[in-house]
Amino acid sequence: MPLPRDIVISACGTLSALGIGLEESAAAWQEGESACFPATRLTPPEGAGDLVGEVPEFELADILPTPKAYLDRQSELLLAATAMARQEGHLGDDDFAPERTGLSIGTAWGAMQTLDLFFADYVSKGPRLVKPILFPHSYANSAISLAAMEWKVCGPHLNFVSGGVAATQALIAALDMLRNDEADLVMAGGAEGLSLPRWRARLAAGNRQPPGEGAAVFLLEHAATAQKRGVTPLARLLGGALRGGTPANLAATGTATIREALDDAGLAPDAIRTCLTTRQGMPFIGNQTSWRIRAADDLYGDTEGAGGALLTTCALLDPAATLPALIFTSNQDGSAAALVIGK
Amino acid sequence: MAPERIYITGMGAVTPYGASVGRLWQGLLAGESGISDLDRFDLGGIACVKGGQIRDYTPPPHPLPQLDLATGFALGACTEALAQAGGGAAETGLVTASNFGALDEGERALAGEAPDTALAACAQVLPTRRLGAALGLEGPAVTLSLSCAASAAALAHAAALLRAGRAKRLLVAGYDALSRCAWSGLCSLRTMTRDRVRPFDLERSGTLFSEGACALVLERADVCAARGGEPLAELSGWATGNNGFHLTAPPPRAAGSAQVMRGAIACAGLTPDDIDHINAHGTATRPNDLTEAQAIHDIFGPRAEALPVTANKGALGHMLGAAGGIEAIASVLSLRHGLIPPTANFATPDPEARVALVAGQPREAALRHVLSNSAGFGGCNAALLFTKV
Repeated sequence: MPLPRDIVISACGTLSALGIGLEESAAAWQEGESACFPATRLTPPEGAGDLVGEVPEFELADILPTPKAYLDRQSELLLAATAMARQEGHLGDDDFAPERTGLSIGTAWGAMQTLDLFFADYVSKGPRLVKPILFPHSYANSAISLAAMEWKVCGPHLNFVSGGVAATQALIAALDMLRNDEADLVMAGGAEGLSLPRWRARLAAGNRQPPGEGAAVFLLEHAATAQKRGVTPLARLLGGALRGGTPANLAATGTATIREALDDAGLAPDAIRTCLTTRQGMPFIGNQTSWRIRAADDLYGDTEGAGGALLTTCALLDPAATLPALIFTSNQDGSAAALVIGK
Repeated sequence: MAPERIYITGMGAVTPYGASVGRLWQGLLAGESGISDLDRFDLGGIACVKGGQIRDYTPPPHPLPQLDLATGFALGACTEALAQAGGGAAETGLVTASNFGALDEGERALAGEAPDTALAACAQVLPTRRLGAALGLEGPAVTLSLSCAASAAALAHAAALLRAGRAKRLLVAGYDALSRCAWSGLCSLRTMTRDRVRPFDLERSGTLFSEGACALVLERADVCAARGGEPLAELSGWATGNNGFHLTAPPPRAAGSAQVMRGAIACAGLTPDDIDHINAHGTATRPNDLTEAQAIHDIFGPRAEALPVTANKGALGHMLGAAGGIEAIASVLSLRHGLIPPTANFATPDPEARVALVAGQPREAALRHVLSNSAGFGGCNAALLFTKV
């Protein structure tokens, strides 16, 4: 049976160092200058540079009025992005049945900031005196669960923690949920918060790229349901692929992943105008194509598990010049995932 | 054209009983307790002192320079599953799932007891990398974290990846290790009992957590047939969802569990009348048991009075990220042996959580379709349906 090719990105909620929302992010994208600046929310670990890609200061209550007693940074970013996407997509509470609405989110570190706080509390005060609110907010799936609660989203539910390919895998899973008629709408993307343990881990691994934080959530649906709400889609999600590999074989894995993603999208390689990737993804791609290839995270820092979602946002910032685009993400173990975004 | 069937061709388990599926099955059939006094780490005043700790376990030989406890459990289960399935590892992908990843290693760096290089273990992709490298797997690598529904959701996602043609063969591993950080957090949730784990029993007072790992090899029927592989069972239906209600409490109505169980049945093209047995989540917490029993009644109506249900957690405790996969293995073994293990520690039926619980002795039953239900912190739900081949 032919694959449905009518899956659209009908709305995008995004926060990164580039800005809050598509408009602000597009202006920064056009400027093309790094949005990584000295850290304001965290004291850099000893030996680290002080540049980070922080999301500009914002009040969640301005975007999402529901009161929250406590939120991890990742949860805060994800909730903000979901609220923005729903608003932009003119999504009402009754537009889709809860059990036919899915959530598919990627992150590498989850609620690391809160896990660190919880364990520090445990070590310093002992188990009897730990703050009971922290542990439930320290789970890697706390953010996606809070989003499900906030929006009463009860359908297919997947939380990817696959490192740098997590959000890309989440978007591929969302595409498959719609293709297979498991859902009518999927809120998909990724979120990564900055935390000191994450920064220290990067430093210990010799990773000197400025860390970034951010979230991007997309409303994915069939073109017909977007049209029914009077929403003009931003782009089409045409296909994707995920592959494993070994660190010794990055170029072969990159080639195979890209070929599979293009096959899944029904596009020939010369149909692609731009390849958006991360600094880590560059060695996988090499110079195998005539596409314009850009390591977009040089602008906003390495957002790790949210990488695929923020690259997808970048593809939407100047669509006339960028689409059709290939989004490529990877892990240092040699695994990769790619998406194809069309006009 | 009918969708391609998804077969289970290999299974592995590392549990408090020991390191093999055979030992798991023996323990479940006997209703043997996997619970003991914890002694691996300093409990330092934690009130909850009993759990399913694995002792005297040595991981299989591996080439890794370092191996954390949790990944070591998973490596044992994966090695057993791959050996049973046969076939090459190079084309095999990996889907892993847990609550805490390699936190037993990462927490030492968080506490300042290990260098910052150990902080990498706080990211749950690390065990996937270690397992892939140790086993020589070169297919797609996916890591999921969905609390205690994690391994059931991982099986569901793996099946979807296979059916979508995104992989040919996937090894699915669910695992978790008990550590200071995880244990103190679990204790703070106030769901643990000082008694035994008594699913669906009027005298229940909470659950107890265990560590370990499960692994199942899934492959498309055409791939299995082409290499002459032998299917153990079919994973015929699956569904995931979320209650959309609360981080730690189930909703007053059992809509979330009922939704995924109905979803798995529909995914298989079956009706509730086709189901012969349910392997329940059965944590022995009052909120879970009441809502799960209600969901079973909502779906099966009057049949719920006789449809045999078992809850493996009575014997083994709650195996966290491995729980759904361990119960999947038990479901497959029930199909193959025509035997339902008893729910350990069950004595007094709860009129508010009435299910046809198998208790006391294993029950012989001709089984064709077995439903396994899982749920987890954050409102995560997943259900799997296994069919005899």
